[in-house]
Amino acid sequence: MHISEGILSGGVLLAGWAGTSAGVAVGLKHTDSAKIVRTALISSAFFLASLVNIRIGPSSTHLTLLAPMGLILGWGVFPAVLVALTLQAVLFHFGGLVVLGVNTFIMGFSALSVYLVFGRAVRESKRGAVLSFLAGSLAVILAAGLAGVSLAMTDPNFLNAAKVLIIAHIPLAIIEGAVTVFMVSWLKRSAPEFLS
Amino acid sequence: MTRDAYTLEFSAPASGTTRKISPEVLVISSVIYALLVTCAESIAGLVLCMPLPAVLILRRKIEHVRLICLDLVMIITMGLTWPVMSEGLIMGLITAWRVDMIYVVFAGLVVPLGAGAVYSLPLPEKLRVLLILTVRGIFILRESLQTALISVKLRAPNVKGMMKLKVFAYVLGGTLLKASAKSERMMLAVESRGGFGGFRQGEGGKFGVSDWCVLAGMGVYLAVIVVA
Repeated sequence: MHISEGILSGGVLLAGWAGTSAGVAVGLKHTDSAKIVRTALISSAFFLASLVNIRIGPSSTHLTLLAPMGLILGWGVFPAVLVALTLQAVLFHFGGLVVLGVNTFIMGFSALSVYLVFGRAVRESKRGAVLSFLAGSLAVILAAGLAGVSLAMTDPNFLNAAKVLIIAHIPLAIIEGAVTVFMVSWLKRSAPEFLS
Repeated sequence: MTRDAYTLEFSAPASGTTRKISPEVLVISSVIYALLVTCAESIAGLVLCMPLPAVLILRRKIEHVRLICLDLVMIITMGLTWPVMSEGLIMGLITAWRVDMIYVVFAGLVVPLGAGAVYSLPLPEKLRVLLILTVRGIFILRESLQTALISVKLRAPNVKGMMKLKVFAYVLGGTLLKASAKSERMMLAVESRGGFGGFRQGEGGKFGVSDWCVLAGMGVYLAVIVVA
């Protein structure tokens, strides 16, 4: 889901940085010193999850944990994603520093949307499992969709590639949905304060 | 992969010219270079961008197998999805050329610096502290997660499918909770060091003559590419 350097146009890169700057500014305002350690911890989990490969037939993918991140951190998800992606760019050169704005916006916006739409319902509803699955799956599809939109805005000829990108992420969306269901149900039982 | 979770904070031994340049200047120069390549739309502009990665390829050992695989996937995907296949293949080649040049510069200049490369960048204090704590958190989580996954592997070596995902999710949730206790101790340490002001590790140093020379050189390079 990382878009590499050198692909997107200047306008899309600028728009990505504008969105990310706004998200990070609001996120940092919501992250007080008591929450910063938890934010760092979730950011670390997001970083490590990308190093765990999951086999899908002949290919493999890695988890993103976008929905759990959004549900736990809320608005604080933007700084967490920015930090994790910065480390990935600097240490492994996944993505890159110039395209970091777009990549952070794609993932941060997806995680935040899930929090805004499903956050309260997942905590309080009796159909928490269904909603968690939807949250986990939709976060991945939304992120892939936003990556596709970024490509299509750079050059309309990328439209078919964008469709392929979204279709390729459907298996990951299902896996991510299942992991979110199990993780949220476990956290609701063992540490409900994590989701509050 | 050029690094793994064990070597996050380790930097490669300084060598040659780059040891005289501050880490933040190397990061900023690499970002300027990535902007140069992004701005260069003509073939002449792209050719002008080549000297820096060419020098780095000759002087540094750059991992190339992953790069070539990614290039092939990108070129084939663009060829298959572009409205006209031949145009798509040409676009794929040009895009791969761009991506490779930026990759070589980052892999040669920034990746060897380790996580410390970003600590000293001019970032808001809260974000800098978050970066430092995240790197610490990666070590804590990696250790706990590794132990938990080994124990799962020993107890249930044949677990597959949905059960495997369930186990992974529970292990991750449990590890987060355990690490949270350690993190609270980290927070106490932060507070006992005088709050965020205690994080002197990330403060940037002053730029020397060689740093300003590199930045000026990158500025001239940028001007040449824009004119080309």
